[in-house]
Amino acid sequence: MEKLQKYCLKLIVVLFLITACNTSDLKKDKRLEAEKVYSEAIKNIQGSPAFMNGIANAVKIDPTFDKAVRELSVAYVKRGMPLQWKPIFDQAVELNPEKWLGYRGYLYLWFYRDYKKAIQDFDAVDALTPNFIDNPQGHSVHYWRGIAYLGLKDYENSISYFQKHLKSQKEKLGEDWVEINAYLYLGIAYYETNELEKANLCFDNAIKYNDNKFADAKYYKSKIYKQKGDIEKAKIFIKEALEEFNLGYLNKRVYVEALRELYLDDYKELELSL
Amino acid sequence: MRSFFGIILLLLKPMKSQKIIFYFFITFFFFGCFTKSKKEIDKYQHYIGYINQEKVLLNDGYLCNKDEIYFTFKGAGSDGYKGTKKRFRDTILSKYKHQLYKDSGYISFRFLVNCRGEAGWFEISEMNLDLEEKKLDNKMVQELLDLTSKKGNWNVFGFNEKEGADYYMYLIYRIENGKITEILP
Repeated sequence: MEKLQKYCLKLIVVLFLITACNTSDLKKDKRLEAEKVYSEAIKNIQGSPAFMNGIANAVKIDPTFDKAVRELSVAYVKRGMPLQWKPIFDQAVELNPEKWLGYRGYLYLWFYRDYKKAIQDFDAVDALTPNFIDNPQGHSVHYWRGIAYLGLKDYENSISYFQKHLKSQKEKLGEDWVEINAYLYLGIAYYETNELEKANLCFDNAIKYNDNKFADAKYYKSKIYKQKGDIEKAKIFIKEALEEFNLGYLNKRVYVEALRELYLDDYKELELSL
Repeated sequence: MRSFFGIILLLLKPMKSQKIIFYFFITFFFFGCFTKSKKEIDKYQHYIGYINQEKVLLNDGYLCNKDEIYFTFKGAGSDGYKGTKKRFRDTILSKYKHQLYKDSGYISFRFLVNCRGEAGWFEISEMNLDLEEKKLDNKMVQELLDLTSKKGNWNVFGFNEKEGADYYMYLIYRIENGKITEILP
């Protein structure tokens, strides 16, 4: 009996040592190990079992690895599974709000068209970094708010954020580097508030900085000239718009329908009305 | 095999029973750890978005090649609509009887379209506007399923004129007080 107790004690010591070793190893460089596992996993097709299991392993090694947590959610959003997407992405936001809040706003905006939630996230990330204009998904938070307010039909706020975006982009990079959709959407916001001259100027810029070909902008210019009663000019612009639509110079997104996306029927309806 | 067990017995023979118990526990400890991690590695058995053709609604149609479904990466999107999404939206909005319903939320339909342009194999998720699981009005969901699954809505997709291919498609309806406010993506 005494010997059994001795062995049990030994067993506890061994188990303790194993656990202690593991903990110390994990603490030492678990992020590095997780990154290694992550790098291997992302060589597989996104959302495949090898990809997901690999990334889940990386997260298991380092549960604070926000980039890996976020990556676990991506295939769900692309494949129409919001119920599964949301809790995982929320976890990434919790781990690193500065990095993922704006990104979540972008997803609310485009994949779920929840403009209010998108704006909440854009505002929140902006407040977190007051001396810096965040750029989730490659565009400034002002640009995304401009689109979200346009979706809400709050044209005043939409115009205000696009103006902020254009001002900072022009200062930083120069006018010819401004994203053409900023001009397009600002133009639409002006068009909706019946500020036709300002709208026309925005569409001109969109066309000018897109190698003079932009179906959407020319469609709106045609509408403006129709409204002004200049049917000849309206006809010229809708003709060019149709040609450029067929050539692929249009506002379109890969995973989702663009906001205010135009279809062939839209162009033909306008053409017929002239 | 017999000689293997013979060697094990030979090794164990000089050991006292306490020692055997000790090594027994150690072995099981490591075995337990290994088994646990193996289970976790296998957590994802299928690709994300996989539709189990045996367990979904309207699954009695014909698939040209049930093992080769196209567009599983992101759904067929604009390639799936017969005509355009605009026409699909106009058709749905003109037929859907919103005045009968009051619920708000999202309804997602993930489904397959076969090589003849027939939709089936539907998996449905119902959510509130915070994207949390919530049962919505059954009749509203059924009406949207009926409208969505109509054959005329979907393209025949294929790489040549003779052979069509089966593909994956998804749609999410955003509904506010019974009205469809968005058809996504």
